[in-house]
Amino acid sequence: MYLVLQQCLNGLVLASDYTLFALGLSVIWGVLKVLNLAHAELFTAGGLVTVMLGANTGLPLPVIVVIAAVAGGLLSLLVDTVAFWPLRLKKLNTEELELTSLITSLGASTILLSLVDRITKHAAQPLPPRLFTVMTWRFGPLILTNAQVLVTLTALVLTLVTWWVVRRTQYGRALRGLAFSPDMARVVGVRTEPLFRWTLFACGALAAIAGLLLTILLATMDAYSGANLMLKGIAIIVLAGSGSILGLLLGAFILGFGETVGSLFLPSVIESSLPFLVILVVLLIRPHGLFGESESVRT
Amino acid sequence: MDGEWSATLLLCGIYSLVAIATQLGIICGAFSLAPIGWMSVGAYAAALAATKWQVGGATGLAIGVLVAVVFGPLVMLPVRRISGLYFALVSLAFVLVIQSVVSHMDYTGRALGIFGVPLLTNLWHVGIALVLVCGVAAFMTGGWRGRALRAAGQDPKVAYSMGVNVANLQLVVGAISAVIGVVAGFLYAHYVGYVDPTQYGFAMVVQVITMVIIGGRGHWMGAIIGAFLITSLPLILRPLAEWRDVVNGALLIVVAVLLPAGIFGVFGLFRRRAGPVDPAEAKAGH
Amino acid sequence: MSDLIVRDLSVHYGGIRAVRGVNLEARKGQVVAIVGPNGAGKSSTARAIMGLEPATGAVSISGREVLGHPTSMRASLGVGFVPEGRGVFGPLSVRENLLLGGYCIDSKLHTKRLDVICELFPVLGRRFEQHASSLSGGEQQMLAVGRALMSDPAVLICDEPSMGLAPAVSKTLFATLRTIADRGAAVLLGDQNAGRVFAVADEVCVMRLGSIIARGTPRSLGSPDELASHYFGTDSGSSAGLADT
Repeated sequence: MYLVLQQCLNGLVLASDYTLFALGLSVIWGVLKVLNLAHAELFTAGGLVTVMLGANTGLPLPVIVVIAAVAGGLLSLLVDTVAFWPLRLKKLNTEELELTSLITSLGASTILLSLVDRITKHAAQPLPPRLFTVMTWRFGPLILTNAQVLVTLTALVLTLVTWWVVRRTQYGRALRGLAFSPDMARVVGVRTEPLFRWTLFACGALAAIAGLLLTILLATMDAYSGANLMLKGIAIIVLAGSGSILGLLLGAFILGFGETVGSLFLPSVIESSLPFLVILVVLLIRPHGLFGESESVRT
Repeated sequence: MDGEWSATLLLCGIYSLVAIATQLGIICGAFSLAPIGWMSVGAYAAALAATKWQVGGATGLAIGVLVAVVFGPLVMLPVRRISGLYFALVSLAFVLVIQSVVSHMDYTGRALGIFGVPLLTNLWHVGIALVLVCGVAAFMTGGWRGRALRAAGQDPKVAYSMGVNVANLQLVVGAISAVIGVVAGFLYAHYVGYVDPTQYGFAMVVQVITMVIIGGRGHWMGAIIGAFLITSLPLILRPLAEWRDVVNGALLIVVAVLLPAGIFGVFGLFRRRAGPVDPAEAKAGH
Repeated sequence: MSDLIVRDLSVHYGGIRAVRGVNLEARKGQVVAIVGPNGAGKSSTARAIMGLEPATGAVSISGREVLGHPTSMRASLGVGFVPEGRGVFGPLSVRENLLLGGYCIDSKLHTKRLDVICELFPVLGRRFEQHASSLSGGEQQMLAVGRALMSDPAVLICDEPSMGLAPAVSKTLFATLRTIADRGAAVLLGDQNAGRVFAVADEVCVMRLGSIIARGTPRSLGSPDELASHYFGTDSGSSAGLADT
C-alpha cells in the first residue's frame, strides 16, 4: 500500500514534467500546425546547458535556468528559420504543411540529436553536485525530495502561467485566433510573423526548462533524454486534442501514473507501450482528442 | 572492399523493398509507416521458423506472408476515418506496439532477440525479390490502376466521384505493402543472423522516411533511389561517415523545402506519369 | 479628401484577371456599394483592398498608400473588415472575438467600445460568453461586423454581409451599416442583394466580369429590377440573388 502511495507521488512528479514538455509541443501544433519533432532536442538542450554550465562555470542555478530558457528559445527560433519558416512562405494547405513540416522537423531533430550526442561524447552526463543538493523528507514510509517538490511546483506555476496567457490575455486571444485562421487574425491587425516567432521562442524556453528540471530530478542527462519523451509528448497532445490544457494534464497524468503506479499492476508489455496504445486508441475512437476544440482544427 | 560493397548492395536492396512498400502507401494517400512493423513480423517469422518451430525457411516466409495478407488491410483500415499526419501517427504507434510486444515476450527472446538465424540471404535472393517487387509496384502504379491510385491519394472525394473505389484500393495496397515488408524483414533476418527489437523501431522509421522523401515521394523508383543513396552514402563519402546523421537531416530539410518531388523529381524522367492525375482519365480507364 | 481611394486595382489568379482596373472612392459618412452577380469580382476587390489577395494599382487609406503593405498594417490604419461567410473566430467566445477586434487600439478603450457594439447589436450582449460557433448565422454576421467596429475604423469593408441570412435579419444589418456610416465611417459594401443595397447606399457601383460597368446614386440607376435586366440580361424573377428577396 505504501508502495502504491509512493508511486502515486512519483507519478505526480513525472506527470508534471511531462505536462511541461507537452505544453510547448501542443501550442506549436495548434498555432503553426507543426508537429515539431525537434521539440525533444530543445528539451535535451536545456539539460545540456545545465550540466555544461554547472561543470565549467561558477554560475548559480537561477542564472543557469534563465540561460537555459533563452538558449532553448533561440534554438527553437533557429529550427523555425531552417525548417518551418520556408514552408510558411510556400502557403501550403494544412495537410501538406503538416506532413512536410513533420519531415523538416525530423531533419532538424536528427541533426540536433547527433550534435548533442557528439557534445556529450555518447555518454550520460551527471549533474554537477554543486548545483543542487538533494534533501529528503520522510513522512512515515513515504519519501519526498526537494528535487521532486521543485519540479512539481515549477511545472505547476509555468502551466498556470501558460494557461493564463493563452486564455486571459490579448496575446493569447491573438494566438488562438491565429490558430483558427491566420487570414482573419491579420484582418483584425495581428502581425502574424512576430507572433509566430514569440510563440516559438516561448515554447522553446518551456521545453528547455522542462529538460533542466528532469536533469535535476534524475541528476543526469544524455542525448536521448528528449527523444525518449517525444512519443509520450505526442500521445499526450493526441489525447488532449488541440487547445486544451486540462486535456494535457490528464494525458500527462495517465502516462506518468501508468509508468509508476502502472508498473506495480500492469504487465510490463502494456506499461511500456502505453503511449502508443494511447495514440492508437484515441485516434481510432475520438480523432479530435478528448477535449479538442471541435472539428475546426483537425482534418 | 569487394565484400563491403556487395554487403552494401544487399542492404540497399532490402531497404529498397521497405521503401517501396512505404511509397505505395503514400501514393494512394496513406502516409503509413506500417511496413517497418511488417518487416519486424517477417524477421521474427524467419527467426522463429529457424529456431523454435524447426521448419524450413520457406514455411516461415509463408506464415509471415499469410499474416501480412490477413492483417495488412486491417492496419490500413483507419485511413478511412483519419488522414494525413494522424494516420501516420497511428501507423507509427502500430510499429512501436509490435516492437514493445516482442521485447517483452519470452517467446521472442525479449530485449535480447533471437540468435542463430541461418545466414542464407545472398545478393541473388535480394535481387530477385527486388525485381519482383518492382514489377508489382510498376503494375500497381501504371496504367489506369496507377491513375486511380494517385487520384485516391490526391483527393479521395474526387476519386470516389469518378468511380474509383478508393477504400478497396487502399486495402489492397495495405496487403501488398505488408507482404513486401514481411519479405524484406525475412531477408534481413537471414542476412544478419539474428533479430532483436531495436532493429525495427523509431530509428528504422526515420531511416525509411528519409529514403522515401529524399528519393522522391510519389513514385516507386524514388524509393529505390533514396534507399541506394542513403544506404551507400557513408561508403561513398567516407570522411562524412561520422556526420552521417547530420548529413541525412540536412538532406531531409533541403529536399522537403526545395525539392518536394525529391531526387527522382529532379530527373523528371517520368514527369508525366508522376504528375497530377486527370480524374477523367482514371475513370475512362476504369 | 476621401478615406478610401482605390485606383486602377487589378487582381490576378494565375492567368485569370478577377478584377480589372477598378476605381473607387469612399468618404466619411458614405455607404458605397458594389453590386453584381456571383464571380463579378466584388469579393476579390474587397480582399485586395484588405491585402488578402495580391493586387496591382493603388489603394490609399486615410491618405496613406497601403498596397504592398501587410494586412495587419492596413487594419492598424483603421480599416475594419467583415469577411465573406461566417467570418468569426469559432472557438473563441463572443467577448473574445470583440476584444480581438480591438487588437489595434489601446486596451483602455475596450470597455467603451464593447458598450457601443452592444448598443448597436443588443443580441451580442446577451451571448457574451458563448462560443462564436454556437451563434446563429445572423448573429455570427453581427459579431463579425461588431468585431470590425471595435477599433472604431475610419473605413469599414463588408464582403457579402447578407449571404445566407433571412430577409428580416439582413434588413436590420443593412440599416445598422447605414447608422455606422452616419456616425462618421466610410462604408464599402459588396453584396448581391441589390434591393437591400439600394435602400442604404449613397453610391452604387455595378460590377461584372471584374470591371465596374456603371455607377451612380441608387436613384440614377433606376430600380434594382431594371438594373438586373439591363446589365445582366436577367429578368427579376430569375436573377440570381440580384433582386430583392
